[in-house]
Amino acid sequence: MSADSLGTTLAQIVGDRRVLQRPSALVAYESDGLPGYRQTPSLAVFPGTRDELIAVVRALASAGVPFVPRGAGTGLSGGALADGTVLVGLNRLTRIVDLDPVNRVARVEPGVVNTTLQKAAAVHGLHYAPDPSSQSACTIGGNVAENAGGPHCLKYGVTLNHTVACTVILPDGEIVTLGSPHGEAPGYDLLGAFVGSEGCFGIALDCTVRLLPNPPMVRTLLADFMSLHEAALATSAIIARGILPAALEMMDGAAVRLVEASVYAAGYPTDCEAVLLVDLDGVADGLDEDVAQVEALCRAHGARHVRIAVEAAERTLLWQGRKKAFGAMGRAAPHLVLQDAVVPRTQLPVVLQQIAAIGARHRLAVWNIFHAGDGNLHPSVSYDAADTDEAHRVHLCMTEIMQACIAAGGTITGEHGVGLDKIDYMPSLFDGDTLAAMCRLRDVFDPGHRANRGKVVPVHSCREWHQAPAGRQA
Amino acid sequence: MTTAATVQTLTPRSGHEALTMMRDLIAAAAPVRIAGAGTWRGAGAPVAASHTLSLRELSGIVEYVPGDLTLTALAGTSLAELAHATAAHGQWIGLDPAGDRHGTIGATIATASSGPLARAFGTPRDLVLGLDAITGYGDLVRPGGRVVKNVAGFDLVRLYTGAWGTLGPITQVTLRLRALPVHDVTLAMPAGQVAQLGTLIQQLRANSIALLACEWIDGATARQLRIGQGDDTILLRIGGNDPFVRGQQLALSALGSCTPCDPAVWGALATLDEQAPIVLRLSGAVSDLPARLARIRQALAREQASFSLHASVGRGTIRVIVSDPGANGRAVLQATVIGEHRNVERLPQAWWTAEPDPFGDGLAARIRRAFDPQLFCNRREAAHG
Repeated sequence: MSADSLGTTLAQIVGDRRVLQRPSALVAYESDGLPGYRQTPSLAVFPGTRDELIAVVRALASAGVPFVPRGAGTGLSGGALADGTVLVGLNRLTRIVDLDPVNRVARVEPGVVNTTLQKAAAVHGLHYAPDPSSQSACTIGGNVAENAGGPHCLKYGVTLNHTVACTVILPDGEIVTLGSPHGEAPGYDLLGAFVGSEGCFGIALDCTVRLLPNPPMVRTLLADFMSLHEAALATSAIIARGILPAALEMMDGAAVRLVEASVYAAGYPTDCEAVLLVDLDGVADGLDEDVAQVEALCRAHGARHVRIAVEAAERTLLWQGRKKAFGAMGRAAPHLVLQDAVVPRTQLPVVLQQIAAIGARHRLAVWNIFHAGDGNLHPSVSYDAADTDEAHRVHLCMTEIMQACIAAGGTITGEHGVGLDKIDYMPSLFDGDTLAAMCRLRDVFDPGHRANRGKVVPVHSCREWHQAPAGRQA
Repeated sequence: MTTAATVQTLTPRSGHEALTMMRDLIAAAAPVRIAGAGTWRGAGAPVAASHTLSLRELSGIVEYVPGDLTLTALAGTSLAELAHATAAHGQWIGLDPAGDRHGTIGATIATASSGPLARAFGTPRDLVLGLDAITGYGDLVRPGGRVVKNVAGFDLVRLYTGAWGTLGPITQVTLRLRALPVHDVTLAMPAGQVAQLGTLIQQLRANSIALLACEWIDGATARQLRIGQGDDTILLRIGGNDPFVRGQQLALSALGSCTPCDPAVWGALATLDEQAPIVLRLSGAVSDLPARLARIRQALAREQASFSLHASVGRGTIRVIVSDPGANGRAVLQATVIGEHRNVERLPQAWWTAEPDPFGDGLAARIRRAFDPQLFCNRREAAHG
C-alpha cells in the first residue's frame, strides 16, 4: 500500500487533521527526550478513541505496515522514534475510565498523563507510586511500555509492581487481556512480560494500575557532604542498615550549583560536593527513630549538615530542585546526554570514583543526579553536538561508563529502557541464548516484526529472523 | 504429580549438570517432570513424563551480599536454609508460601507461591531480580541480574516466575531481600461475623494500620491452630521498631480485643493443608471479600464438605482447603467458581480432567511452544487435557 493510500485509509478512521504526512509537520516527532537521535516517521496518526485506535492498528496490520507507538515522547532511550515507518500517537487517549477508591485501582487510557492520574487519585487520599521526573508530561501508557521508575520507587517499586492489568491490541489486531485488577490470574505472567516491552509487543488500550494510600507522615532530610565518596558511603550504610526510605537521591556539587543558579533554586548549599535528599514516610509512630538513624549514619560518614524538613512547602521546594535538575542543566550547553545504569548499592562509592576518572580522562565534566538508594545512576554531560571532537569524547566517555557499570555487576538501564540508545550494549549484558529467547518472546506477540522494530534486542540475536525467508525481513 | 509407572529420577548437583541432563533428555525426546524437594506433594496437574529432574541436590547459596540486600541461590536451596543464612545478617526473603520450610526456592518461584506476607512485600514477581533457566531447546537463559532495578531487555524473569516449569526448569534465582523487623509481633482478634469484615477493612485503612500480614481464618482453622475458642479470627502481624509496634498495637486495640499469639502460628498455617486432597487459591476484589467468603462457606457446608478457609484481608485472596469433599465432590469445585480467578494447587488426580489448562490456550500456548516446542517440560497428561 502506498503512503498516500495508507494515509487516506487512516484519515477515514481518525479524520484528516489527525494524520500528518508533510515533512514539516513530522519534524516535531523526529526525536524524543534524548536529542542524540533523530528519525522521521513516514506518517503520524493520532487516534482519539479506543475504537479508532483498534481500527488504526488493524488497518496497519492489513497493510503489513510497521509502526511505533508513542506517548508523550519524553522517553530517554530513542525508543519512540519511527524511522520511515508509521508513528501511532496515543496522547489523545486521555480518559480515566474508572477510579475505584475502595479496591484502590484505576483503569486509564494510555495517554493519561502521570500527574493527571495523581490529581484524580489525590481526591481520595491515594496516589500512583511511580513518579518519573517527567511525570508532568509523560503518560501512563509510556510508563507501562518503559517500566518507568522515579525517586519514590525505592520503597514502593516500579511500574511493574503497580500495574495489575492491561487490555492490549497485538500488532496483528488481536485484543487480549493481560493480568487482572483483582489478584492472581492463572497462567503465565504475560502482564509482567508486557510491562517494559517498549512498544514491541503491542499497544495498551487501557492500563489498570494500583493506587496507594498517601502516607500519614513524611520527613525529608537534606544532608550535604564535602565529597561525593562520603555521600556514596552514607547511602550504602543506610541501605545496609535495612532502613527503607521512600526515596534516597544524590546530587553532586556541580549539579547543585547549576540548580541553585536556576529558577529551580531549592536552597541547597552551593559549597558542598554532594547532597543526599531522603524521604522517610509512614505512620507517625517510629518515624522519628528512623529519621534519627538516617541522620546519624549521614553524620558518621561525613555529612556537614543535616536539615530535616517537616512542613510540606519546604519539602516541596527541596524536591523541586531535584526533579527539575535536568532542566537546569539546559543552561550549561546546547545538548545534554543523560545516561541510565544500575549498580549494586555497595558498589556505588567505587563506581562513582570510576565515573569521575573516566570523565577526567575525556576532559568532560560528568554530573551525577540519581536514585542512589536503588543504585540507579544517571551520569550526565552537557556538551555542544556541533563540536565533533567534543561529541566524540562524550560518546567514548559514556561507553566506558556503561562498561564500568556492567563490570561492577550492574545493568545498562534501570528505568529509561533500551530503545535505540542501549541496544549495542545488550550483547555485553546477555549471552546469545538469552537474547535469542527474548526474540522468541517478541515473536509470539509480534510474529511479523512490525511493532517498534529494531529496538531493544539486536536483530542479529534473533535466530528465527536469520532463518526466515527473505521476504519476511522486508 | 506424575502417574507414569516407571519414572527415572535425575538429580543434578550443578547448573552445568542440569543443563547436560536436559539436553540429553531433549535429544532422546524424553518428556520430563521438573521437581523441587517434593515437599508439596501432589501439587499441580498430572504430568506425563519418563523422567523426573529433581533439583533438590542443586542446592546452595551462590552469592549473598548483605549490604546490597540481594542473594543468589541455586534452585534446590531450601527456604529454611535461606531463612537461616539471611537471619544471621538481620534479613529475610519476605516470602512465606504454603508448605514445609524444606521446600525449595526454585519451586516457590516456579509456582509463584506466596503467603500472608504478600500483603507487605508482594508476590514472587515483585521479589525476583534474575534467574537462570533451561528452555525446551536446551538453552540456558540468564535474564535479569543482581541489581534491584533493571529494565534491560524483555522480561523473561516474570515469564518463568509462575510458569510451573512448563517453559523448562529454573536452576538459579537472585532475590531482593528485606531487613528483618526489629520487633515482630503477632496478635489474634475475634473476627465476628463475616459481614463485618468490610467494616474492619475500612477501619484498618482509616487508622493507617500498616501490617506485615492480616489473615482472616475461619473457626476450623482457628481450632487446628488452637487459637481462642475456635471462632473466626483475624491474625495480625506487626513488624518494625519499638515505637511503631507499640503505636500500632494501641491503634488495633481500639478496633477490637487483641491477644498476643505465638508467631509460630504462621508456620503452622502454612502447613495446615498437607494432607488435604483439594487446595484452591481464589482471587477477587477486596471489597467483595466478605460476600465471597460467606458464599463459599455456605456452598461448601451445603455439600457437607469438611473444609477450612483463610484469606488475606488486604489482598482479597482466599485459600480453600478441603480435607473431605463429601459425597458430591464435583459440586465443591463448582461452589468455588465464584472466585474471580481460581489457581488450583491440589486436586484428586481424576478431577484434573475438567480443569482448564492455563498454559494451553491462546497467547499462553504460543509462548509455551516458543520455549518448549515439543512440550517436553511438565507436559500435562493427554488424558487430562
